Amino acid sequence: MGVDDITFCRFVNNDLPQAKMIEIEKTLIKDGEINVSLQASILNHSINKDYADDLLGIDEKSITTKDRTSLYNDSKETNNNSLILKNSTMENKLSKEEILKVQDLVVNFNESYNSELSLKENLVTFYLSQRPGALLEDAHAITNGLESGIVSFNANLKKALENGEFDYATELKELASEMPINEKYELYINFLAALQTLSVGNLSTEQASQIENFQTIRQRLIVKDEVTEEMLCDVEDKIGQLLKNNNFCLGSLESLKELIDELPNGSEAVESVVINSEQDMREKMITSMATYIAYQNEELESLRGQELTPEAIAISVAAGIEEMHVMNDLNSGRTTVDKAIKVLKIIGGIALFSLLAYVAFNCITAIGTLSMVMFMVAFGSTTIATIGAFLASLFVVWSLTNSAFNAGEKIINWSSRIFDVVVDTWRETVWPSIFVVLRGIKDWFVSLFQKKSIVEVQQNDDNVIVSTM
Amino acid sequence: MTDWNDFKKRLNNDTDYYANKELAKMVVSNDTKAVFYYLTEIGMPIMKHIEYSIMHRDITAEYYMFLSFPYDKQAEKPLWHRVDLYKGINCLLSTYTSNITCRYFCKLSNKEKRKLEKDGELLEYVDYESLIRCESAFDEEDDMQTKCVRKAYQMLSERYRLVLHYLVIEKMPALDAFPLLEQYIHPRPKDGLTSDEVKQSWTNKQRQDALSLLKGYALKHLQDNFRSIKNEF
Repeated sequence: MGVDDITFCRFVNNDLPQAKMIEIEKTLIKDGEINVSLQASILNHSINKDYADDLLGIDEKSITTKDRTSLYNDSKETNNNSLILKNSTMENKLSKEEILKVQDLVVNFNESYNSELSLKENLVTFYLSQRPGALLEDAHAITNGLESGIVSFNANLKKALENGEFDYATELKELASEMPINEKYELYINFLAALQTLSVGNLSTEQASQIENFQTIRQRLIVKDEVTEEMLCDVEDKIGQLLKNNNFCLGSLESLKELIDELPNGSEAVESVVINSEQDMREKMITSMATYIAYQNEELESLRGQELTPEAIAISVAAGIEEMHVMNDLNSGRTTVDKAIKVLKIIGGIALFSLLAYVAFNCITAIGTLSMVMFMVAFGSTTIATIGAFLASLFVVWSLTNSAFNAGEKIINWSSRIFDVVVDTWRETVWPSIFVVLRGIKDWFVSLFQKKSIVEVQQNDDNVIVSTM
Repeated sequence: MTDWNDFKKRLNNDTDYYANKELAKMVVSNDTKAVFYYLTEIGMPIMKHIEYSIMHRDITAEYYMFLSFPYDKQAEKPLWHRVDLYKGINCLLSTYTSNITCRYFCKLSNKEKRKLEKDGELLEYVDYESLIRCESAFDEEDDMQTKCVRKAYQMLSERYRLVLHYLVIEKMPALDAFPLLEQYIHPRPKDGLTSDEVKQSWTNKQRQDALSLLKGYALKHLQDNFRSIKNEF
């Protein structure tokens, strides 16, 4: 007599007395079904990842430098969980193996570096060596794209830190000013939807439950109404509010917080160090290139099927590295938690704004359907989440490979409380304002849907689906 | 009438599985919202995983027919017999669904491979019998598959070797194994409690879930190791 489904389930879950487990095992072996129990167990973990993360946490609290060298042959689980961008609607993360592949590429690059050539020439040569058959002109275009993303991010960040804040409202008005108003409005609506989704994803479960159901918007939003200047100002204002209150870096910080041990005291300004981090251009360029090559070589399984540009990757890398600086300053006592959060919010906002600026520019220069595709490529919720995942992951890659800063060693000596303090403080201080902003934006979207001013459309599908929220 | 938003909240915090059982009943009665929720929120990740990992093709129609079987032609509606069998015994409807669909499609996959005269027993994966022999003395008679699984097992960290030792090789019930494995479990701190305090406050259901998920995670690592080295054998 075969095993019924309920008993099979209990066997997979080890929910039977041991003698019964042995008896069922025998029957399943006899029926040729025993291997299925392994697959069912793996599937069970796969579909309950969020729950598993909550229950299991991370498995190794600290990793020594020596251990890192042997991770390829180990169980590959070390630190995996710490790199997940926690998000209830998107499951993007870079696994440890993927991160180590990027790290490996950085090491290879440094070993093959020819000091008689410029950095960019070295990057082009390296790209061609890692991508056999690639065209020289493509290698140049990619290198320029990476540089452009980093330069744009650095410039915006510098402006923001010099002024203590970033005037998003003014910048958004100036951005893509020559773009037709309807198209610009649609770009902004999609950007806002992705931002909202990302922000909700970075909240705690309890907090997220209070911002209900926005996650249903995953596809491109189409604007049905004729757009007025007033409508455009309205959406610009909402983007500005959310960028100011963004929790973009929170997701990556939270997922890294288990790495370290004690919190030092003291306080000093962090801004000057961050501003000076333009000197990190070299590291940003190399890490961006390594990531882009790994992505193109399909070694980043998590990102397969997504369309990411060199610019988007570079912006994420640059933001991740800046995040690293802030946390290092906090750890060494050169800044306070409040200042760190302030700067991290600026970094997250600037990363997102730089991405928007890049896409807006490309929408202007692109023609016809290409610009439509650009919306989805840049502002599909999953892409935004992916970039968030990069922020966390590349933070580690860079730290492991930057010997001048010796950051790898520093990170593992950090206190895990440092992340707890930042994350907890961030959640507490940002929550009241972000709650109001997110609720307001959600209600605003609902009203647009109800009036059918905007509709949701499936990608690659002619059918327009009006969301009812 | 069920307030759907409240109901979804109950599903997310369903310690006694009442909401899960209620959902199953609603699906069986063909409640539109429940069926939609079941097939999308719960069913879609399962289907995608099976498509990607086991069948390597689109299974949408078969998946729906499997879950909704049988179809009452006179009443023109599905009867959801398999869902009807869910009784909420120590497992969520999602876990029950994933287990039974995985079971069905693994069998189907093997059948299709046999038809194509390929290997009929999921040989691209770790097999159970090799796994339970992993800790026994090395045997020169071992076939390549067993050697490869043995090596993949050795590559695991101690944490996962112990998980597989107690839960697969020893077939120990999850609640009995919990005290032996809890040192490797560090739940996320929440509600002002530390990780250890959270763990101490767990119910038996949470302990059961943790071990069940840990076993799946350990098997996933074993399978990853296996795939990374199988070409060497």
